[in-house]
Amino acid sequence: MKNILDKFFRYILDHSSAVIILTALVTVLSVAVLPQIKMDNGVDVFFNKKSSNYIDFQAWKEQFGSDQVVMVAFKDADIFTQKNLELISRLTNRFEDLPDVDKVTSLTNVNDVIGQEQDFIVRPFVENVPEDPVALKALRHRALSNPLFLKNVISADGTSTAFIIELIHKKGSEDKYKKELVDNVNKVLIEEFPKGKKYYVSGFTTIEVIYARFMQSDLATFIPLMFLILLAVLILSFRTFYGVLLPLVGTLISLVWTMAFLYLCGFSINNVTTIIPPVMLSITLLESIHFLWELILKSVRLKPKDLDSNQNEIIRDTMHHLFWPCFLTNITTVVGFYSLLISSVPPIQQLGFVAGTGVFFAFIITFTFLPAVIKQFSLLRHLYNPKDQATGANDTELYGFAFLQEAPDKIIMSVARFSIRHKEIILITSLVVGIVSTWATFKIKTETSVIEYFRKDSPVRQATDFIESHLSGVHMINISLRAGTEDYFKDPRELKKIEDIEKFLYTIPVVDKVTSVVDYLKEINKSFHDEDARYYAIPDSRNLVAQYVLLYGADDLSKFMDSRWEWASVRVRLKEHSTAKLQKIIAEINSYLKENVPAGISSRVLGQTVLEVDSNEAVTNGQVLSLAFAMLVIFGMMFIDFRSIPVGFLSIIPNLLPLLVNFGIMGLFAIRLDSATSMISDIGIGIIVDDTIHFFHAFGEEMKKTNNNREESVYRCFASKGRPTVITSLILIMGFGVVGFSRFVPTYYFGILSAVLIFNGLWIELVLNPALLTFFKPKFK
Amino acid sequence: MRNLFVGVIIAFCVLLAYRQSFAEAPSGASIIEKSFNRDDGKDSYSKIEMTLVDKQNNLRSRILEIYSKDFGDLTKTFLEFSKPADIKDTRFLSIEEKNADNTQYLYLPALGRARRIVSSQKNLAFVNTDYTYEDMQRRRPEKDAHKLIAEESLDGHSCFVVESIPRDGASQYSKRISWIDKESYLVLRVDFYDKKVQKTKELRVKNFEIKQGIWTITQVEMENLKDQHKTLMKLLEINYNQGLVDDLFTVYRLEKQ
Repeated sequence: MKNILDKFFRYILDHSSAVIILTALVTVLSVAVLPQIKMDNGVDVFFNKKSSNYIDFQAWKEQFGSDQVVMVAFKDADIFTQKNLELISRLTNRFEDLPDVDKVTSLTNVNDVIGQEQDFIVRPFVENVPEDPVALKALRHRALSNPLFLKNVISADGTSTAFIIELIHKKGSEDKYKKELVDNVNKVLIEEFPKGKKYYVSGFTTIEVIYARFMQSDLATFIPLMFLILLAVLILSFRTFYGVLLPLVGTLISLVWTMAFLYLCGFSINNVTTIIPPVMLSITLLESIHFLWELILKSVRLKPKDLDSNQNEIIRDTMHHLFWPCFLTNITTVVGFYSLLISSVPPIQQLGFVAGTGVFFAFIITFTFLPAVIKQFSLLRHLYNPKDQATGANDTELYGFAFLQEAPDKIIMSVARFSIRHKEIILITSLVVGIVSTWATFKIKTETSVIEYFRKDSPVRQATDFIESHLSGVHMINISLRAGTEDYFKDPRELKKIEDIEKFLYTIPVVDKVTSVVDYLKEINKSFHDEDARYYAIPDSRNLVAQYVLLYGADDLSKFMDSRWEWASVRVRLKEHSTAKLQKIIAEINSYLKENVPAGISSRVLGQTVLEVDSNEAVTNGQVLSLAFAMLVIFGMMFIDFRSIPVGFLSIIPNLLPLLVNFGIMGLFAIRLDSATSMISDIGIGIIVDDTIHFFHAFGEEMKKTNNNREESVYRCFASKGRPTVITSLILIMGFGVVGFSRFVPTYYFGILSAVLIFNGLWIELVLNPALLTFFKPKFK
Repeated sequence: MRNLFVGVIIAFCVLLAYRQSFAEAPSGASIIEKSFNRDDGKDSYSKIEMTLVDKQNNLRSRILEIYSKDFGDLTKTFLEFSKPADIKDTRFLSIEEKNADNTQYLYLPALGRARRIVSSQKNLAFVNTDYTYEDMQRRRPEKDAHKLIAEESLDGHSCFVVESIPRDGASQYSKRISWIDKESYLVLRVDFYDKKVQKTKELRVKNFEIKQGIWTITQVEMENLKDQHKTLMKLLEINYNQGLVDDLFTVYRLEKQ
């Protein structure tokens, strides 16, 4: 094996120009596809597109119309003033004139059905705004007594009103038109709305558009910030031009390859895959830094002229020395990422596959391109500062970071001493921390509600909260009832069953508003009976239903019944965001439908909300499975690597504990498990385990050198591995920490918690390992 | 030299033909006027099969009978559904007014009562079809500004193509483009444009012939492009100039069993 590797390394160095050209070629091709990468703004990416809930919902949308809605609302002491009604009427017209608007429903244009002596009138609620206070009062009274208006366009107290702007249904088209519409709506509001008066814009489309905007701003923050950090780290570590340039180029190339790979897989940039660049940058940077450090270490004691003549040998030596440890730590990181493939949430799978492969790319570049460039341009002696050569007496002092020498080393060594001296206390404390964390882990709640991705103080969240508290919930679910027989629902007995479903739905506390065809039929029936409230009821014969429908020309009904009257839809608006709670509500509705809907009718609960709930379940299940897989493989590798069962078990402890602590933090601080935070442990385990591998390997070697003197071996280990471990962890903490600048709640937590995990991984490693190794005294092979 | 001569001759002929066509082409307004005033009988009775086609291609069929009579310049129409059973005997009376929207009454047999239908929304669908209440009214030519924009052949019939833009805003459409057959002066196709000047509907005459000496449309299709919904109408029976009595066109008659 060593021979094959040696041949390979020689080949790389002998053909350095070819390696450089080939790398450049692949990179240029990769850069060429980068502009093709699509941004996927929709929240659709989180859904399992093969599930029956997804497919049936698409069919439902085909029938009952697009779910793309922008909602605008505002509040005033009394909505029924001449000024307000004129404003509503003007805004309604402006909104209707915007491109891609299908329909606008507002207090002034909502259909009002009126029965008056011999007349039957269907007309917009306010055609001409009255000046007379008495007439305004009459309008108020009429609006507040119409169930079809209440909570939809007007609040029960008459102080808040809403516009519902529906977009035309565009199948599979680009999202650009949604963005334009939301922009246009805002433009109209700025132009028409009195200065200083507050308005709120929400609705599913708005949420999606702002979501996309945040995503782009995330990317625009992550990448430059990450580069600044990279640059700072490199300048501080190497303080030479090439020492900064080479890792930077290597890292960039791996990132470019990775993003091209993302494109070639047919994936796009979405809310989850935005995390790839910053995370990849920090992981791949470490790879290059490791390589350069080792090179410098090997060359620093040689005189410049010897350096040139021995260049190939030094590079080859470094490659030999680093290949296996790097390979192993890479594999664990890759396994961590690939374990995400087990998840059934598509963006999580995509991130796992692409980032895992990206780590592999970084490995390839470190062992082909970097050595080839150094050889080709004889860069070895340009990598380090000549001053280091003069002072460089021993290995550890030279190991990069001259700026961070004495003090950190002292701290690290005292940590080792403390750990060995108080090993019992440390072990017991760790055990307690582990148990408490495990207990807190069970308090973790899963949440995938899209609106809760936004912080409470973000305008869209505030707008949504306003509409929910003053009018009705923004979350919608639809109950689809399909009979398969034409005119089935014209039978008053069947309509009665829909009415029963409505009544049942209103018994659920968070249900705000239920609307079905029954509400319209009751309203028409009342109008045909001189507005007599007793006739606010389902018409008593099938023929009457058919004749009312024949007459009622407005297209409102098509949102609730198909043209054959065999497919009914009941729309439910809820005040609840929590997918965990919605899950229970949906189950409750399903069990009611199962008991009460006749066998021949297929009843389904459909909607965006249902899909969000589904992805909730997928996140939980995926988390358990993929973490189990990652742990099995990675810990399995440790047993094989150390060829010892006791050492294998011991090596698990400093990795399991940080994971538990992280879950514990999530449980205690009520941070929810969602599509982003569920990835932390999988990715994290692959990364924090690297330190253990390095540390345990070094410890094994020192044991041989010191004749199995454990304490001495620990000190030596700390002396050689301590500072690099701290530095690499710091780089990773910064890399993941950058993601903490996200404007999305889950992405933000992903960044912060990943950084916390790596931080915990670091100090647990430093504090716990000496205690573990000196207390349990495992034998190394 | 010879080529030049031929060239000049051709150019001259083209110019002549161009001038000729200008000289002969009637104005858009006169075409619409002529079409509006063409002979469609003093009165008529027709039996029609109406088929509604939704976007999933589900068909629903209805049979209706229409009585129509001219009262001077204005027309009254009486309409009765005979199929399907649940809307049998539902009746509809439309009285054209000189300077206002038609007055419309509806009789629902299940209630045994007639109601005047008042709607200021012209875009409401007429009995669940793709025709709106506005489409059902005869549109008087003076309400629009007309312009002849082309002359072309449509399914083998040579037609005038006239663009009509409402003079006031009181229409659900921003414009209509009509293809008018030069021979019969029947409107063979209309493209309807909504307020955003997007084509929303298309009316197409599938078949027409002379019945009892009068050009008569026997098959027509209205398609709503937005909803992908269609209304097909097929003439089953037609009788012109039978001398229908005036009493037929009254509310009293509407409510009588």
